[in-house]
Amino acid sequence: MNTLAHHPDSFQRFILFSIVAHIGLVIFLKLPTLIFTPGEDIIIKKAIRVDIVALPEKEVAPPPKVTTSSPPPKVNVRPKTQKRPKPNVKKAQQEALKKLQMMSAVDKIKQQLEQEEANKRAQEYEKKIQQEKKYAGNVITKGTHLDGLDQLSMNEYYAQLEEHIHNYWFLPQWLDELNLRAQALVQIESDGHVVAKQLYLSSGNSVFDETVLKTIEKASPFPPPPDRLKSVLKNNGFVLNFPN
Amino acid sequence: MKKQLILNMSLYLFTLLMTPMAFSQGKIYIDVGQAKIKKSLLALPPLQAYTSGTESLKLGQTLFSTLNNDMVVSNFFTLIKPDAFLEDTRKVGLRPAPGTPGGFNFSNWSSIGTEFLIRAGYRIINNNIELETYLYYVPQSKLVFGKSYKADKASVRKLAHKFADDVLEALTGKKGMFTSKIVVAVKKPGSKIKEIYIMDWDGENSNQVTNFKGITITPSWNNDGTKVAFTNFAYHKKTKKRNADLFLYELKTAKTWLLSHRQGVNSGASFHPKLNQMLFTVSNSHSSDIFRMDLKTERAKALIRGRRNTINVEPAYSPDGSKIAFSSTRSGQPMIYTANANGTNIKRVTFAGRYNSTPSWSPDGKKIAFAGHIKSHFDIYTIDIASNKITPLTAAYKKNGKRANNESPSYSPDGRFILFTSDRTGKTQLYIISPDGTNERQITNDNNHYSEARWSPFLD
Repeated sequence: MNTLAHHPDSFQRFILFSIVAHIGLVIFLKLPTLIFTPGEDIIIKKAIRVDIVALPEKEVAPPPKVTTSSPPPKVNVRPKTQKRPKPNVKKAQQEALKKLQMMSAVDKIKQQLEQEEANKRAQEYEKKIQQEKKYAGNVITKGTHLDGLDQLSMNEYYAQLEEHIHNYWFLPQWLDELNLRAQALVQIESDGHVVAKQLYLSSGNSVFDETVLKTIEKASPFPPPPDRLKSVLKNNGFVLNFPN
Repeated sequence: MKKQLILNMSLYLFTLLMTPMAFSQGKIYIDVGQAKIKKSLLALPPLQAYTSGTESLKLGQTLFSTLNNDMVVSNFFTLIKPDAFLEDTRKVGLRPAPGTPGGFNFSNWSSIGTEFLIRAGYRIINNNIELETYLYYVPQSKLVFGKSYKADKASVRKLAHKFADDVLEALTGKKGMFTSKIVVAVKKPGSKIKEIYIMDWDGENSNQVTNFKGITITPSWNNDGTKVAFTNFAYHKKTKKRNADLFLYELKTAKTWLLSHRQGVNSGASFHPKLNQMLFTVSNSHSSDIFRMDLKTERAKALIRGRRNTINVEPAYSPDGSKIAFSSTRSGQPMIYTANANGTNIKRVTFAGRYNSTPSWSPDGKKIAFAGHIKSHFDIYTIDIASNKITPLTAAYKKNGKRANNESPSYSPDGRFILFTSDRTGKTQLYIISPDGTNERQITNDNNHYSEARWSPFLD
């Protein structure tokens, strides 16, 4: 018995589904190569730079603005019972006016209370902000928005520094064979002169450590840093790895 | 509900991943890189003689000149000229003042820029020489080490070499090669005979080991330096023919063993650093294969074989015994290969040049020195196993303006030098060079023809 003959529709549906699935698979595999074309030029993307030396500051949202509310809309008060005005209309009007005045007064008081509450909240919020400002460090800096070219120039400066210091880095053969490592923390002025240097991580060998510090002394002044780095390199410094 | 749950989980995971990045802080780190090397200034005043006489003077001079040469060759030091000394060391003691009455003054040495100061004195007692030594680091007015040595008068050079080894060990943690030796095949001028000689690293104390009055070649050391193996074209009474047989010679007892007499050339022994086994080559008209021999049973079997007419020669165990380096023509031209010690995993190491041979491992197992044929001559190269980087070490000219042949490299046991032969003077002499291609020195300077030199392991 030919099952296909019995179910021609389902076979057709199956074929159709298979074709669609295959086309979908091809598109799925091909699409990335179409979008991410190899061999593109280097695209300098915008980079967000977070200040890595200064203590981070919490980015705080400004406190909510407390605005005075607009005057209440006019209220059309309709008496509950609609009675035909009696001949004493004036009295009724006066009563209605009185009611209006009372309601207005209530509204005013309400508004006043709300205002006071909002002010109180704002003050408390201000107080909280002031307190939190003392505890910088557990926050993220707002950072500086650098584009790729600035990032490249920063890297270029680091490479200059490395080359400059390397020219003064000499070791006697016997000390080199010991395969020692040390780190030194250095702070420099905007003109490149060393203002402070200290061992950040000792090698364990006093002669090696002394050689490291003497190298930094001899290498001063360093190449002047770019404007963006002047403050950071003066106040927080940078760490030199001897040899790496 | 389900969708909300999935969304919440995704947000939670995202936050978890982002949090460390959000709160990470760090300093700017800059690598200064490898330092350039400079030499230290060493003051080596004349040795203090505590005994008088011609013999004492002569021994003192030998001690001093040997030590002086070792310190210069080490490449660690630049020796300060004696006329720059501010102190007459004959008038002061070996120890510093004020701790020692009449001692020397550190300031007299620091003011001339001295970094290291050696003070030593010797005396002859009966048939022995006693040497008292001190090494000081002058910038810190510190004693690095002080030691006394004693040996018979005939070993006066060895005494100086021992102190030189100790100086390097005190400074670097790794001792020097100054007490090591060289084994080499030597052909005297006008002779066709080649015999095996052993000498100090500096070419002194040369002693003939074999006396076959024939051709003796491819010497090598066993793993502890107590024996040497070599090949001699020995005459077989039974077959009435000569065959290149492999022998083992014990230095202390002068006892000789026949290790292998397979038909063909049995040569190029390489001893396992730890196990009692050895590699060697058997070459005949068909091919050359590498064999491994159990030295206890003296049974050997082929380890590395090639197709017919393929050459597999010059095996060398790596310092840890896990690998073998050898030269092979399996890809057409002789190239350097490595394999596991059991002969598996054969890998080609050199792809440059037309003829690469005589591999020698560095003691740390990271490099192989070899002789490479370039244009019309051989030069010495090293190849880094990890990076495959090849570094040329030698380049020299003969008197006729043609390029010299530099061959048969062999690393010193401390890895600081490579020994090789060179025909640049017209006679093949021995030279040493630092692994970076600097500090090249001629060791022998005579009319002998030296070939296939091998540096010993540490002998102490």
